[in-house]
Amino acid sequence: MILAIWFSEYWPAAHWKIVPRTEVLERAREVARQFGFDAGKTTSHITASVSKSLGYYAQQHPTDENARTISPLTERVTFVSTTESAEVGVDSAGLPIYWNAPTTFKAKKPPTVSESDAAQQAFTLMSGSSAPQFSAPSRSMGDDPNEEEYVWKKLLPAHSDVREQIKVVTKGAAVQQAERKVTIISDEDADSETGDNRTYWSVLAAIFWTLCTTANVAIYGIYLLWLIRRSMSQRFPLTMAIAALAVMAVTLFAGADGSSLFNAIPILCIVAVGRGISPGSRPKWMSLEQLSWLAPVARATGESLAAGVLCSPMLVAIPSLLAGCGLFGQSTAVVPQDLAVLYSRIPVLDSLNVASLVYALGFFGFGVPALGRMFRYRWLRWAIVLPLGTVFFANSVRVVTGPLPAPLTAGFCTLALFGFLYKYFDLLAVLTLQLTSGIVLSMLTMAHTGGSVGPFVLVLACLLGVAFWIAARGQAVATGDPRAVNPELGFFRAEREKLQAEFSVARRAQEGMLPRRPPEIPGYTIAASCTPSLEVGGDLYDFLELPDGRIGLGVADVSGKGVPAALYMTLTKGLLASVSQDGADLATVVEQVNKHLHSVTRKKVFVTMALGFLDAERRVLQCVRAGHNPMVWRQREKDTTTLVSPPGLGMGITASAVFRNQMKVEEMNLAEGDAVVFYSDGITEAMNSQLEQFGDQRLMDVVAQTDHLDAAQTHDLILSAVREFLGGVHPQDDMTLVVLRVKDERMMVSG
Amino acid sequence: MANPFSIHKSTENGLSVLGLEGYLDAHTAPEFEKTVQGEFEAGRTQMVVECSRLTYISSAGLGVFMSFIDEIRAAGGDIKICGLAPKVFQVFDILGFSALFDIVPDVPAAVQRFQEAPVKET
Repeated sequence: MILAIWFSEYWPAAHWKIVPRTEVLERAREVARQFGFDAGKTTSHITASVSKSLGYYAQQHPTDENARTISPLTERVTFVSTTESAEVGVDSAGLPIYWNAPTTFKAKKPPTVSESDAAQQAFTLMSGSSAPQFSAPSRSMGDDPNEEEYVWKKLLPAHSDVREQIKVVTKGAAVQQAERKVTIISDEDADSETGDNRTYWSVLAAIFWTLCTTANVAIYGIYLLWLIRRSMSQRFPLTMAIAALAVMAVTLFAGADGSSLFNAIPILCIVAVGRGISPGSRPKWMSLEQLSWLAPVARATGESLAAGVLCSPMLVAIPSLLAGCGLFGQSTAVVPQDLAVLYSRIPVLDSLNVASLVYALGFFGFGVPALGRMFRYRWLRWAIVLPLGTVFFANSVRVVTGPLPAPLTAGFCTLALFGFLYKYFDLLAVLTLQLTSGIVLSMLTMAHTGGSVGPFVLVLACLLGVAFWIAARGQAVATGDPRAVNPELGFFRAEREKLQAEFSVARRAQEGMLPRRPPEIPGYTIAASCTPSLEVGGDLYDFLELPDGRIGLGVADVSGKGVPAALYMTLTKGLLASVSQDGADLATVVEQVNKHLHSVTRKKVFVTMALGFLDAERRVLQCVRAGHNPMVWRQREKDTTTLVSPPGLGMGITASAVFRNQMKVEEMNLAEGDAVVFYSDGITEAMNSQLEQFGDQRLMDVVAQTDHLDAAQTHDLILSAVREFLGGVHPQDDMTLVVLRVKDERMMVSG
Repeated sequence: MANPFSIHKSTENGLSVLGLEGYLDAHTAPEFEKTVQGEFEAGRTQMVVECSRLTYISSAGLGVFMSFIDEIRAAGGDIKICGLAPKVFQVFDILGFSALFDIVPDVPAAVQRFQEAPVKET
């Protein structure tokens, strides 16, 4: 309301006379009757349109006598009966401006009237008087050989930029078409001060404009094609189809004149296609999707709705503010009013201009993500988005006339407001802003023309109420919540369950790759396990039978989690198995595995590994540590427990000589009763509810107490110690453990 | 369990100092990655990563150091790491990062190291 009063100066509709709906109908009927058409038994539809250039001219030239007669507003009434339809246009002064007879039209006039008389009568009707200021009519043959075309031109002072003419087309004695047309030959005289520069700038502007628009259309088109080629998920499009049908039903039953709601159908389809690709990976679409499922459970959904509604007065104010600030000379706000609302039976329904969503949806729903995919560098993305977006929004809303900077600034401000909502909220906020700004605009238009604003206020208040309710009652799945950042862990149960099912298949496959049972080596016992955490992980243990009869045993850990880690784990296992068969020494085997891993992972992933080659006869264990946790060596005879930690880099980090140079092979001479424990960081970094880690020391303490136990018992004791330490907290990482124990012939515990 | 993480950017003797605070894990590593990439693209290839307030680093965090270092060194820059708490240092050390990166006690030492050896010799 405040805006409406404040900006009335820049509000064109405030200067126009708006004729009430019933009066328009009455006048149109009268005009039709005078042309010989009985509109009594027809249904009628009214639309209204505005010539922006006429409105602009009238505002700029308040002293131009001719401009005073200009009415930028045209109400067009269509009369429809079962057999025919006719159209009548009326301006705000009530004068006829347009007549289009039905094709089956037969004039109910006496046949004595000649063609030229009929035309003259039509002219008198259209000009509103005998109108001496019009020239004599020029007469020519129409498109149809039976038609005659008459044109009267208004005689105007030379300085006026207004041109007015009346055209009448007759067929026999019947007037087929009559039109009064007012044009402005130059509405750019605001630029006249810049003189010679004008041509230069307008050419430059045209090139810029064309390039940017073409780029916009191209990006949008390519992206849409790409989307359509992708398969679609089912639930969302289905909901969309139902929503589209519902919109259609509402429009039909409510009998609203505006057809804009019909546009909801293609838009909903676009949304469905867009959303149908890659489920779950687009946080910006999430609120919109939830809302379309009628499951607005997240607080973020309410926040987006509220933000959109609250920002809409700002969007509406942009053109008026710019025109009012006076920075751009004689620029004028041309508020993009859809005046259908004035003549609608249910104005609020018509104010929902769903078609306008195309711009915002296209730009932010598709264009911006596409750019993000195409260009890696942020500055480059900005450099593209800013000019494209500015022109795009300047083009799409065209809210300010005047020299080029004015509409461009308007476009930029619009982009900024939308961008703000997109960045800090999401797509739902952007679309809400677009839709509610239409309501606000219509409300202000109604206010200026003395209409009732109650329903508009009610709708806006309801929207805000719902938004706040969801924001207050919804779940805290908001921005900054890891679940929102990582949509795979999000809140759509169906998708989540689907993912989990896939994960469990992956996990089973992964578990199947681990050795079924440890090898049996005379004089030794071996136990091993890998306890996966919730997700599939990248832990691995393996035993190798080497060509020289030695046994290889090792534990490896791939950085990261999830399916990628599991894939690299598989790769590592394969590499290890194949490279170790070449008969090379321990250092060479690890070096080879590193080289292959490095060429494949491209530094994105690294693998740490502790690998030992055991010569069972000589009781010599050679060990390397490629960036992995050290091994625990329990020497029973000496009663010492030590961490064996020869230097070595993680695999996949570098393929240079540094890797080989850093790596040292440690040789351990085992004695009876000794134990060597290989493990992954899931053991030592297991964290309890007090955020303490299990740590090396606790592990060593446990191992120190196992002298009398075989490998399997030692293994179980370690795991139970970790579990006890965790006290019910679920382990966050895979826990992998391999225990090698040298049998003590005297004790033979395991027998 | 919230895992707060933040990066404080500053400059010291023309070097870009990135102060890490909190948990650098799989959730927060992308932020660090973006920052390092931003510095690299802006031509500030001499970086000091100050870790005195870094309480935890996971393999994903270590991966960030790794994935940029070759590019940065090829551009004549380097990453010097300083102020590691003993526990965090252990993680770096186990993986062998002490062989790949200059790890020094504090920012002034890092500045000095940049003067002595702009790129670590390996």
